[in-house]
Amino acid sequence: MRRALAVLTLFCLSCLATAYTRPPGTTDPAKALALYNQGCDLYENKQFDRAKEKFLEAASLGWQHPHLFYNLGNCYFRLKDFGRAILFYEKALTLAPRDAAIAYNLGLAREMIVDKVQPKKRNIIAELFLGIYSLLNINEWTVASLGIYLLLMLTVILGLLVKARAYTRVLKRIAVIALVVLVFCAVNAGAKIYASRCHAFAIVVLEEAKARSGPGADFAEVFVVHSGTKVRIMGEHQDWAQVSLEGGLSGWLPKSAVERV
Amino acid sequence: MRSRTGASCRMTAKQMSNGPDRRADHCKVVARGTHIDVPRPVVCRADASGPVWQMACSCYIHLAVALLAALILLATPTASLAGQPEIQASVDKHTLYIDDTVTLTISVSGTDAEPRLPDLSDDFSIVSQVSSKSVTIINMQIETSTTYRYVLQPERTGKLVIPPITLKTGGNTYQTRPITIEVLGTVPRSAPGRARPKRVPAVPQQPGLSQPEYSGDKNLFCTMSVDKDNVFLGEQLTLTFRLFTRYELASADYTPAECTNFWKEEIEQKNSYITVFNQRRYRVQEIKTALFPTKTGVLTIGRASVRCSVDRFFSPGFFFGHGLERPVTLRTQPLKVRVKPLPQGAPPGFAGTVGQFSIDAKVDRDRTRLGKPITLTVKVWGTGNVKTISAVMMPQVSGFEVYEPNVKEYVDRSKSPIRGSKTFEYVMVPKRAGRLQIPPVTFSYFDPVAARYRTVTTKPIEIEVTGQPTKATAQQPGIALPDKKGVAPIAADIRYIKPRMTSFSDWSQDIYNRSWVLILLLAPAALALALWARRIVVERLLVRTGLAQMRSARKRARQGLAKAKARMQPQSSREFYSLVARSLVDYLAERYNVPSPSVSASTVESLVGDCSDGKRAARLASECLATCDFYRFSAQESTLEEMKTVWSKAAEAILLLDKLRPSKKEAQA
Repeated sequence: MRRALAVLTLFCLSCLATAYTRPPGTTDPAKALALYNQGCDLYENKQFDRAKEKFLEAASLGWQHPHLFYNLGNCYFRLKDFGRAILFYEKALTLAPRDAAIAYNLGLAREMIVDKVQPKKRNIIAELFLGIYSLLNINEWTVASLGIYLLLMLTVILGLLVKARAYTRVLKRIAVIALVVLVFCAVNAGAKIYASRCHAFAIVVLEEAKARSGPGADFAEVFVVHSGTKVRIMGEHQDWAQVSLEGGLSGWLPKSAVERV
Repeated sequence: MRSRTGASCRMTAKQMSNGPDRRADHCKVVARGTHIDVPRPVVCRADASGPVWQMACSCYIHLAVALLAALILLATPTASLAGQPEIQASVDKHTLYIDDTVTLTISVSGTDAEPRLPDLSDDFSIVSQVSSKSVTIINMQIETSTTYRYVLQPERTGKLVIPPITLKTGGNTYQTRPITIEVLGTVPRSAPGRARPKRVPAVPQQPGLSQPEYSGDKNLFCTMSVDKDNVFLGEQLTLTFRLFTRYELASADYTPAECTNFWKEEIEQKNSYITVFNQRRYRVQEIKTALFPTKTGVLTIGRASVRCSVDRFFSPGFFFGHGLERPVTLRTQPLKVRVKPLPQGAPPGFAGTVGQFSIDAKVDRDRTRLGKPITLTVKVWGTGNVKTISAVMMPQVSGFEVYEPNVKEYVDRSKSPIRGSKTFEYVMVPKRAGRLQIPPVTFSYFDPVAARYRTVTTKPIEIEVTGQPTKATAQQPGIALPDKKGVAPIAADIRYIKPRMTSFSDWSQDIYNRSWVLILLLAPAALALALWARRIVVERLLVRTGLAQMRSARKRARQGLAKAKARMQPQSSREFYSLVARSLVDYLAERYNVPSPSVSASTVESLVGDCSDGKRAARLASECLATCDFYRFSAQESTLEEMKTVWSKAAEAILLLDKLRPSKKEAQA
């Protein structure tokens, strides 16, 4: 038995070692970091346009970092392009949901846009769950779920090994609590993963975009949205995206008018 | 202007509507004034006898005849007119002022023909006309006379001549002599008993200013002028637009001049008066605008225009014309104004206010309690643009918490130069007790008349504050408490960028799809599964061990019983019973995993379960073991039948026990 456990532990450690290899997202980390720092310097010298170019170049290398997106949002804000400023603040907030500076700047940028979409009214329980859901990012929810899962598994294994009835009773209680928490964390992590994979939300980046009743310019105009408005992507057809606003309006916008968060 | 002209128009129309009424009055006057001079009846005093009665009858007959003759004459006046036609003209005064009137009286007698009034429109306007007619019968001679009275208002000053008035009747022409009237242009202030109408010079002459240009004809034109053409930045100048007219205007639409680089305030006072210009009498409409230059250099005031509609019927020269309206558009010439910059050396706190101002400060009460607020009211008033007063210099007031002032503004646009005031109300909360002082409040402005900056100051105000000092103040006398205020945001701006990074960290990969996460998910589950499987296998192995033991015990028991059957003879009875008992005990010991010595006839029932087969098997085994023990250890011989019975019981007991499956407990045991 001891030999089997030792073999299993060695197997897990070897797998962990292989899993910690660099992900293929960033092609050139050193260059991306250098571009980021150059952008910071240019921003400090109030050369917002050039700073934006540097940050965009760093982002084009596949690098994702909340600071990078936040600084990009600041550049666009200074250049009065509030639509793209909101887009990058949203991206930064997705990665770092508890960053107060990102949330503040995002709120200020939203004040600058033309459209004012009334948020959907939710009850207190929905608000509570949404608040908890927004508290952590996708990786944090994944780690939380994984930790609780490991705790649950530990209690199960100990329950199988230990024969003393007093211990098995305590382990059973711990396992039940861990199971409930695990379900909650796993649901949130799953929702985050779903939102991340589907790119459900987008920001209008054109100054003004006319939503039509169908995916074509010959369909009737149903409403007009302006730069910075957040929409939910419901579907796509060729060069058109079906969007819906939080207030309930729905229509088709050209794909070029929106950028996914 | 439109309304005023409209009023004027309405007034003229009323005059016009009164004309026929007056003519009707005149007719009444004629009717009332018709004097029939009949012979007075002779009243005779007599008795009521025949001659007296006859004389009375004769008198009444004469009276009736005379009345009849008069009625006939009235019915056909022209048929019986008598006398030579005659015309006379006279005026009630030969010298008058421009705003006065003169009455022209024309008397025509001996004819019903009307005199022909010459054209007086250049010199006079006819205010009203009245005619009266009288008929006189004296000694059966009928004389008629008609009197025409014209009330004339002179249109210009100087010696005016009323041309001869002609009368054509019966092929002859009669005319009066010309009448000369002297019209004076000014009204002496000391003239008693005369209402002096408002009069101003026709075109204001300012020193250094050229005669303003005007557009239009001699009867209707407009001018635009400024009171100053060289001013300081922010100094008021008054732009005056005047419309001169000798016509009756049905309407007038005024378009103000474009005043770029000027702060404009309309002056509400709109003058309407009568004036004389170039020896002509005009009605003038005047509009004034206060201008405050906001830029230095030579500034241009654009053209003002007015679109008039002239009512020709009531206008001079059109008195007997047609009632038509004639639209006319008049435009003024643009004006140039030179604006000088303010001189150097502005005092601290000067915010660009130009004019003449005063300042005053007062509090709503001079005694208060600690923490109870008072209100300090600072008022700045004077002539100039009060809207440029942004603030007064409020000094640091020790011992008070001073809040932002409530500002009130008042502008008096009723006349030029415009005046106004600005009031700053400060709410002040005393923070410590004692006799506190509000220092003087100052305000600086530029005086364009004196061409220098001035600073006006209020007097210091003493406030008596009662109440207990705070604990801290009591403990540390001489240390004034700081005036605390809430922190209020001035403006909103985004937060600064995130700093430079020295080490690279990548957030682009989500960890949920990394392999180690999968391993961490699967490894514990696999371990738990393995442990669980092991437990299952062990349990099953134990059960299998129990079955094997049971099978071997049965086999050995059958072999022992077979040996015992071979010894089933009376002479070897002890050996037979020993083999049967050993077979049964060994079977039970192996079946229930107990030591052989512990199995006896009395312990069998405790080993076997509670089921019916088990009870029966236990009973058979117990009886069998008891019989075997009896014949093994006693001297009594056993019969063959008894041996067969014992053997059968032993075989049946083993068969029954063999059918019973071993429990998990038995297997573990």
